[in-house]
Amino acid sequence: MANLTIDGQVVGFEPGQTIMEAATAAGIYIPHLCHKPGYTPHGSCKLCSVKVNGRVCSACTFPAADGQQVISQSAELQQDRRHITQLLFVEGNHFCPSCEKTGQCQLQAVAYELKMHDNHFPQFYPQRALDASHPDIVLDHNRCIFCNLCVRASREKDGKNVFGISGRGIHKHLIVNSESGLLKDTQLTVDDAAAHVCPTGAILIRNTAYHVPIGQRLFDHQPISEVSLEHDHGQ
Amino acid sequence: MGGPSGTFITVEESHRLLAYEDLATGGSFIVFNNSRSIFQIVKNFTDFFAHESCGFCTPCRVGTSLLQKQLDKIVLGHGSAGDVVELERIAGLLRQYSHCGLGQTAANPVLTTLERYPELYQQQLKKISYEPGFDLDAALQVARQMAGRNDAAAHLQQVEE
Amino acid sequence: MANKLRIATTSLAGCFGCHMSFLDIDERIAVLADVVEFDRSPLTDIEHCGPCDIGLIEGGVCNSENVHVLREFRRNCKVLVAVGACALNGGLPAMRNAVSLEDCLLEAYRDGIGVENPQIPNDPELPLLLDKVRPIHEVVKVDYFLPGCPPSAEVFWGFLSALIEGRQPDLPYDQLHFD
Repeated sequence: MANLTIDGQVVGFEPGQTIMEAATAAGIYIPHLCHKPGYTPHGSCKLCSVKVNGRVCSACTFPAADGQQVISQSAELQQDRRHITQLLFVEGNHFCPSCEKTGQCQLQAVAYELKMHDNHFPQFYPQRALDASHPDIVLDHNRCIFCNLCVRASREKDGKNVFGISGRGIHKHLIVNSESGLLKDTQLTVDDAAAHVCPTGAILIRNTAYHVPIGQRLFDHQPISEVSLEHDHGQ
Repeated sequence: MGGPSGTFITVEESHRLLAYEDLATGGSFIVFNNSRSIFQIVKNFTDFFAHESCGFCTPCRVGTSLLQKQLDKIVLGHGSAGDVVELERIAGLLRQYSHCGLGQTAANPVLTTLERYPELYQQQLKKISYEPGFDLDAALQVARQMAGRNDAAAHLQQVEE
Repeated sequence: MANKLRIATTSLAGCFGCHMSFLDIDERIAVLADVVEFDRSPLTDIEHCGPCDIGLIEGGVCNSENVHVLREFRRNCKVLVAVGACALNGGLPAMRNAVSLEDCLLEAYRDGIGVENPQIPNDPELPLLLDKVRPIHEVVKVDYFLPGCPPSAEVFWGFLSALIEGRQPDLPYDQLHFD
């Protein structure tokens, strides 16, 4: 078995694995949002940026290689990951107290993990729509971080191609592939992977909001570094 | 040298080489005479990159727009003590973490002029600890107009007297 | 008495929920009262802030009066603290940013259901609304941020204890919440 080191710890890996996969298998958490085991790597959120032999790479897309020296937990990387998370927060409209997903939200949990106390940068307060047309599913564009997971889930898991990404730069946005552009006119159903994969509160299942009370939710007492490894190990 | 994402050099650096090892360029170079405003050139290039960003990765998608805002704040004379540091912070995120060459070099106009003309940026800053990044009085315009008011209390100073 | 730290508090575009949460330190307020003195605050009814060591600001900036009060605090407080979601990112009041100010005012004072004698309020005594609700750090320099809606009593207690004892404040995982 070939080996690399992550923050000095020797980690074995199988040929073809990414640095993220090797790290997860070894019980090492690297912050991420657009990565999910079982999905084609995307490498866009940049939270999993690590230094590989001195160069910045995305752990979720970069292939593991024998003898690599990977640095993940340096103070510099943690601070810059915090800034990248803050970029995501100011870009959209993330008002946690009024969001159903609070406490179960990966964006929020990554912010907690990185000890983010404030948004630091000026808010963009973009004008974005809420699509409440579907009887079972709500799409709130205000909370979308363009991780592409719903796009991938719909194409790769559900075979439906319900979501897409359009526009560029700061005007990039999620679109729904239907004539009207509304969710109700797609084949999306509540048991689709795409309906459940959203790491934030952009795609929500109706009538489930407060089944688990605030204070008892997934990340309320357990950091995402632990939750993520427990979940991802099982796959 | 090398277009908007290349390197700014001064006349004092005219001994440098057009070469991969020194000043890399795909062939493009632009000469500016002293009638040109460096800030206007940098702003033009920075606006260009904010427009050109494809939006795939977080640092470039948000960073190029933030860099634009932050540069505007300084160029328009609303910068104060920490604003150049903040400009460097955003530029650093872009350069280090962007997915492709566009984002990695989008801050070059800012970084390479900041390196050569730090005093130009510093002179542009007010000697106060903080100034808002948006126009306070303009933010009251809609309310002022709808209430039909123009009294002293219907206005805000951008900086405290 | 002379060595007591002076603290001022206020709520801008907020709901006073952060102040209520602060009071949830319960009897520990007596311990606090031994080492601090309150300046301008809803707890004292002092109208204007004098020189202070710590200023706690709840709520975002939604109108011109908020700007004046915030500046008064910044002028007088050595350490200024943004308290709660609204001060940090505009919070619930900032959800009006999705609607233009013109539409907000027309709905509330002219076109809304049940509006009688429709007119946009124009008394010079009334502060004018900003086109968008903003976090306080976009208007003045802020030294510390206490997230939460509201931050729990433990957050206030831990933070103030640290400042009083001259330690660097920290938020343990259980106290770092945006909700």
